[in-house]
Amino acid sequence: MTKAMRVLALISVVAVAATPALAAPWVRGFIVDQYEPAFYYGAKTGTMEPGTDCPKGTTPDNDYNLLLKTKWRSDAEIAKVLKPATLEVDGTFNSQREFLLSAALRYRGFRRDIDTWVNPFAAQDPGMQEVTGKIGEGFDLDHNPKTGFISPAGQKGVDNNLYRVMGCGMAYRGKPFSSYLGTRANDKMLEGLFGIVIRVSGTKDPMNDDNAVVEIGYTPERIIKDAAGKVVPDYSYRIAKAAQYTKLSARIKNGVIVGEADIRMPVFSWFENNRGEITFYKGRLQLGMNPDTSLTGLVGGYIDWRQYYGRDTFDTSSSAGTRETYYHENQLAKYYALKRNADGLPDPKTGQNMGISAAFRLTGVRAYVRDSSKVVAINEPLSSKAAPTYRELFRKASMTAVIIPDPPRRRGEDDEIPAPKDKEQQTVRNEEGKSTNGISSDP
Amino acid sequence: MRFNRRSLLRGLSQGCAVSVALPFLDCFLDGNGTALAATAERIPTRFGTYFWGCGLTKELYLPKAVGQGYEMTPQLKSLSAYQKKINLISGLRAFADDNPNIQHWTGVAAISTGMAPSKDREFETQTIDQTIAGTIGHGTRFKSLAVACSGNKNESYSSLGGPNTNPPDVSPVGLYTRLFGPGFQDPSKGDWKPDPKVLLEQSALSVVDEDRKNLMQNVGAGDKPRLEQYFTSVRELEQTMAAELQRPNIVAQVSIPPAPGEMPVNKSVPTLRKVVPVMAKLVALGLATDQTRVVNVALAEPASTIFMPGDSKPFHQATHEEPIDPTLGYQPVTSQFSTYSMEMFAELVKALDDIKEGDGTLLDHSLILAYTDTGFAKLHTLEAIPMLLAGSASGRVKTGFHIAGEGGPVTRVGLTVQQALGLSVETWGKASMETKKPITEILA
Amino acid sequence: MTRKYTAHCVAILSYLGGLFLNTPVLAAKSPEPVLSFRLLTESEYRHSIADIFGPQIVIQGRFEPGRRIGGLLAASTNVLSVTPGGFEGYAKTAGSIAEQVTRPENRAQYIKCTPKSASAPDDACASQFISRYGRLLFRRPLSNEELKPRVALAAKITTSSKDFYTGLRYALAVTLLAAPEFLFQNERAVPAGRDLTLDAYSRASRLSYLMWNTTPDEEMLKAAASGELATDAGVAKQVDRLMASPRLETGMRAFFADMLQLDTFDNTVKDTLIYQKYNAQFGPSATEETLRTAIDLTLKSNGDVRDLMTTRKTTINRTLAAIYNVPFDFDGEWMPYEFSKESGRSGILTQVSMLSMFSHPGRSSPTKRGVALMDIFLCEPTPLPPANVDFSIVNNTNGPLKTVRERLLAHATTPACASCHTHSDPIGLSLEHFDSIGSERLTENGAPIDVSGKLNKKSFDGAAGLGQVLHDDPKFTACFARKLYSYGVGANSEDVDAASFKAAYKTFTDKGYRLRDLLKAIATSPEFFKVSAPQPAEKMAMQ
Repeated sequence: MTKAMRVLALISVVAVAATPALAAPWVRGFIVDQYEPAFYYGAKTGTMEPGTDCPKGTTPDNDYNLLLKTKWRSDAEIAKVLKPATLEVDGTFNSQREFLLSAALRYRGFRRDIDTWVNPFAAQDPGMQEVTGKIGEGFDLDHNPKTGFISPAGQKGVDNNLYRVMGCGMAYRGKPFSSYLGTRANDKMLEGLFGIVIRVSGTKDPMNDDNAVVEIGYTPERIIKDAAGKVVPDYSYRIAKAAQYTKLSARIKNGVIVGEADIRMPVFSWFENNRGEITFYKGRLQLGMNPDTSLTGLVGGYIDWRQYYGRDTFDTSSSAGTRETYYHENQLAKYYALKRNADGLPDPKTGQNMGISAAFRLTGVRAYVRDSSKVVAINEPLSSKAAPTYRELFRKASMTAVIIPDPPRRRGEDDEIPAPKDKEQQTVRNEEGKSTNGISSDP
Repeated sequence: MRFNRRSLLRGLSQGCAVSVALPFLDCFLDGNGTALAATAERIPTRFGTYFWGCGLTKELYLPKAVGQGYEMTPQLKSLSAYQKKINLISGLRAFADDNPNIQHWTGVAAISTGMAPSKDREFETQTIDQTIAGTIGHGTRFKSLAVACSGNKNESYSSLGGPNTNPPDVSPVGLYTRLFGPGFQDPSKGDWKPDPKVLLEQSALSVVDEDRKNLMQNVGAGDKPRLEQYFTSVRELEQTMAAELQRPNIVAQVSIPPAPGEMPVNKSVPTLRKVVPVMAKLVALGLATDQTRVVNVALAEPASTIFMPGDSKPFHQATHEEPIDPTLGYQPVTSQFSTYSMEMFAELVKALDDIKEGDGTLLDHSLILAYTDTGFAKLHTLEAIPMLLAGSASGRVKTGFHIAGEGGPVTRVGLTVQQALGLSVETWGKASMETKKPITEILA
Repeated sequence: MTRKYTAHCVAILSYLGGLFLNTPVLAAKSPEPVLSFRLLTESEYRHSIADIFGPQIVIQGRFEPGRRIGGLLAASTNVLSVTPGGFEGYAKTAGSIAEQVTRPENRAQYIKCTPKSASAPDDACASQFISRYGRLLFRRPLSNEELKPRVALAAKITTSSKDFYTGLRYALAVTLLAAPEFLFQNERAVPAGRDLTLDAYSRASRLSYLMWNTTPDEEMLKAAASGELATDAGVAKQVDRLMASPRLETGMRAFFADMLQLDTFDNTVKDTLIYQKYNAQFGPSATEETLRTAIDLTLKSNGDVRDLMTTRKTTINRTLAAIYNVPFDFDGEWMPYEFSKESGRSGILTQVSMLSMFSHPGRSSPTKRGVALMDIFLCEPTPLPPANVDFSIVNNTNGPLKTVRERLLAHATTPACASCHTHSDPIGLSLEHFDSIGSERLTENGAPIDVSGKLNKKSFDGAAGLGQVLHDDPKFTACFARKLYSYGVGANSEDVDAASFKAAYKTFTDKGYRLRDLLKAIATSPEFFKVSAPQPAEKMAMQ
C-alpha cells in the first residue's frame, strides 16, 4: 500500500468502528498490566463496607487472645506473648513483638509441640467468614448451571469457590484493582517482579476467527511505564516457553477470545519469594480485545488448594505469621474452609476434591510478543531453603492426616523460628529479627 | 611579512581568546588531594539529613501548584513559617533495576547513595553525607554526627558503605556530652596560636602578587581579563590563608546551655515531641560552634514504628492494615503519623533558623535534605518519593520552590546537593539512576 | 584534621613566582611560540588520559561546556577561555588523577624507578617520571628549562612532606595535568615558503585528535621526533596507519556527534504527558542509533556519504523499536533494521535523533527542523528572527487553522518573515509525518498532513522526497567536506575559504563520495596544516 492509501485507511479506521474483514494471517500481542483474583465486591465504596458479598463487612482484626487460647496455654503465657515485659514498649505492637506473636501463633494444636501451620488438622476448625452473596465472577467449570454463583452479567453456574473462601478477607476485598494485595501485587509486577504476555494469532480476522491460537506466558523483560505510571504500548517482550507457558486453541467472536485447556502461567505474586507458576486445571479463558487496542478478561480453572494454602502459609517459612497479623487471616480456618469448599479434581483413590475453583481477572496493553532463538530464562523465586520444605511437610501431613513433628531447628538460619520451649533461642531471634537472604520478611 | 616573537605575542593577544590555565595551587587540596576546602568565607556551609520512614500522604501533602508560592498543604502546615526557606521536591523515583525491590530499604539507599542496594540494610557505597563531609568536614572536631531520635542505636543511615553505619547519639544527654563535654574547646577562652607554616605561605604568595603588576603591563588588552581570572584565584587563596591566621570566630550568636536532664527516649509520639526539639537544638548548637559541619538525624527506622499510646498499631502496621477511607481517599491514621514526621522535621528547621549567624541564620548557611523510603508505604512503592531541602547553602540554593520531578530519578537531588556544596561532580548515581541533571531551578 | 597548608605550598608558589619572572604569558620556555591554543574537548581529555594512564583511572569532574561555532563545537576550542569555575574543575580532576597514579598499589605500574629513599628527594627518579609523563601529556618532549623547575618542585614537596611519592603526585597534578600544555593543544608553526605550517608535534596532535579523538601514540610521537611528519610522505604514512586502525571509528564518531549536533540531547526534554514513550533512555538510544548508522554506512561499508540522506537501514534497540512501532528481536541490545518503503523514512533525516532534537517539548516544529537541517547539511545557517515577531498565530493549535502547515503559511507571508521561512519551512514541513519524538503520525486534528514541498525549484513529497533532493544536491556534499575540514583544523566553517578543501572535495566527488577518501585527502593536504600569521596589534602598552 502506498503512503497515501495508508493515510486514507487510517482515517477510515478512525471514522468507522470496525474495518471490513480481510482473510489474512494476523497476530496481536499484549503485556498484562493488571492481574488479580476475580473477587466480586458487593458494596458500593471502599474496601471494608458490608455488602451483598459479605453482609458483616470485611473480616476484622483477629482477637489474638482467642487465637492463642488452647488447653495447654495458660492465660499468663498468653499475656506474656501479647505484652512482653522484656520490651520497653507501651504495650503496642512493634516488629519485635510481631516475631514473638508469630512464634506463638504457630502452635495452636491440642498439644504444645504441634506446629499447626504444618498440621492444621491438629486443631479445631475456628470457622471462616465466607462469602454468602450470590454474585461471583469466573467460569462454569463443571458445566452445571446449578452449582456456583451468578455472574454480574447474569450467567448461571459460575464456579469460584476460592472467592467463597477468601472473598471477605481484607487482603482481597474491594472493587476491581483496588484491594490491598491486588494493588500491591500490581505495583510489584509493574516494577519488574514478573510479567505476563499474551499472544493471539489466527488466519482469518482478529474479530472473528474459529481457528485462533492463544499463548500465555512469562516474560523476563522489564515492563516499561510512562511518567504517570501507565504501561507504555508497542514495546517488545519475549515469551518464555520452558515453564509458566500455555499454548491453546481458541475461538474469537466479535473480538472476544474463548479457550479451554489446562493453563500454566505466572502465579499472582507480590513478593520475590512467592513468584512462580500456577496451573488452572480444566482451565478457561475469556479475553476481550477492545477497540482502544487494550485487552480485558478472565482466566480460571481448578487450582490445587493445598498448593494455595502452602504458598500463603510458607512463602517464607513463617509468612503465615504475617497473614495472621497484618492480613487478619486465620490459617487454620483457611485450611478447613479450602478443604470444605474444594469442588473439583477428585482424587481417584480417596474421592476427595484436590482442586478448588478460582478465577483471576486481567487487563493488557498492546505489545509485540517475541519468540527467542535462545532459551528464555525465568526468574526463580528468591526463597529461603526452609519454605519449600515446610510446604512439602504440610502437603504430606494433610494428605495422610498424620501429624508431622517439628523438623530440627538450626539457630541462625534464615526464617527459622525457634519452638517456644527454647527461651534463649527465642530471645536471640527477636533481637536479630533479620533475614539473611537479603529479602526482608516484612509484610 | 617578517614575523618575530613579539609580533606573535601581539597576535596571541589579538587572535586567541584564551586564558592560560596556569598550574593550580595545590593548597586548595587537602592531604588526600581530593577535596577543595572552604573558600575565604568565614561562615562555613553545613549539610544535614533528616530521615523519616513510611513516606507522606499524596492527598494531603502534594501541592497542585509548581514553582514558587505554591499553596501550603495540610500535611506540611508545620513548615508554613519556613516555606520561603525550603524546597519541596515531589515525583522523583528510585529504580531497583536488576536488584530486588527491598521494601523499606531500596528507597533509602537509592536516595542516600545513588545505587540500588543488593542486600537489606546494606549500602553499596558510602552515603552522601560522608561524601560531602569528605569535602566540607575538614578542620572540625567531628567529621560528621548521627542522631537517633527514638533512642535505637541501629537507626543511623550514615555509612561508609556495607552493613556498618556511623553510630548515632541516642539521647539528649549523650549528644550534649559528645558536643560540649570533655574535649570541647571553647575558642573564646585559652591559648590560640596561628600556624607558622601558613605565615610562610602567605609571604610566598606576596611574591606572586608582585609579579602580577609587572606581567599585566606586558599583556595585550585581549589577554588581560583571562589573566585577571587567574590572579583572582590567587587572591582568594590569600584570603583563605588570612582567615586561617586568625583566631576562629564563632559568628553565630549562641551560648552553650547547661546539660539537659535525663529523659525517656522511645518511639511514642508524645515522647518524640519532647525529645526531638532538644536534640534539634543541640544539633544546631553543634553546627553553630563548628564542632561539625555534617549531621544526620533519623526520626525512626524506615518501617517506622512510632506510635500513639493507647493505639495498638504503630505507624508501619497502620500503613498496611488501615484501609483507604472511601470518602477521604487516604488512610487517616497513617497520614497522621506522616504529619507528625513532618512536625518533627519542622522542629529541626526551627532550631537552625533560630540561631542568628552573620547576616542571616544558621539555616541560611545550611542545606538539610529530608528524605524517606517510599512514595506509598501501603504498597512499598518506589515512585513519587517526596523529599525536602531546607536552607539555602549560603546562597548557593534558591528556596521557596515546589519542584515536580515527573518520574525522574531521586539521584537528581543528591547531585544537586553535592554541586550546591561545591563538590566537583557532573554525574551521580548508577544504572537507571545515573543522572547528569541537577535541579537547575534551585541552583543559584 | 587541619588543612594542610604545608611547606610544599610554599614550594609551589615560589615555582610559580619563578615562572612569571622568566616567561611572560606562556607557562614554559618552548621551542617556538604557540600560535593557537585549542582547549581539549571533554572526550579528547578523557581519551587522552585513558591512553596515557590506562582506562582504570577514574575521571570524575566537571568540564567546560563547549560552544557551537559554525555548526561545530570543535571550532570553539580555539576561542574558549577557561572560566574560574571550569578551572577549578580541571584542577580537582588533575589532583584526583595524580592521587590515583601515585597510590601505593599503582606505583609499580606508573613509576618505573625506585627512589634511593622513600622519604627524601631523588632527582634522577623524579626526572624520569616527570619527563616520561611530561612528554606524553604535553604531546612533545619537555625541554630542560621545563624539566628543571618541575623536578625542583617535586624535591621541595618531598622534603616538606617527607614522602617521595607525594612530591611526584603534586608535580604531576600541578605542573603537568593542570598545565596549559596539556589542557590545550599548543599549536606551533614553522615557516613554509611564504606561509606558516604546523610543526611536527603539532601535526601529530592534530592528526591524532582528528582520526582517533585521542593523544598521539608512541609511533606518532616518534614520527614527529624523527622529522618524518614534517614531510608529505611521512604525513601520508601516518594518515594511512591511523585510518587503517579500528580506532578510526572513535574519531569519526566524535566528528559525526559534533556535526550532527547530537549534544543537543543534553537540553532536549519532551512533555511526558503527551509522549508516553519519552524516557531517560530516549536521548542516549537515539544518539547511538544515528552514530551507528553514520559509521556503518560511511566507514564499515565504505558507502556513498550521500546515502545518509536516503538509506532505510539502521540499528535500533528496544526503546527505539517502541518509538518506531516495530517489533524487536532480543538477540542483542542492538539489532539491524530496515524500514519499509511505505514507512516514509529516509536516512538520518527521519531518525529519532534529528526529528526530536529540533522540536518543541510538546509538538513538532517544521521551522526548527528546517533551520537545523539547513545548517547541518547545507552549511546555510539562518539568522535569528526579528525582535518583534508575533508568534500567536503559529502557536494557536486550537484555532481554525488545523495543521501546522496552514499556521506557518499564514505566519510567514510577511516579507520580513518569508525571506527565511520560504527556505526552511518546506524542509521541515515535509517531515511532518513524524511527531516530536519521531513516531509516525499521519493526521493532525483529524486532517491528513500534507508533506509536499519545494526546494531550489524542485518539488518533492515527504521525507523520502526531501532525502533524494538533498542526496542529489552538491551543496550537501560540499558542506560535508567543509565541516570535516573545519572540524579537523578547529575553524569556524562559515569563515573557511573553499579553496582550503577544494582539492579534497574533488577527490571526494570523483571517487564516489566515500568518507575515507575525503578524510585522507584532507589530512594529507597542505591546507590541513597551514596556519596564518596573526594580525599585528593596533596598540600595545609596551613594545
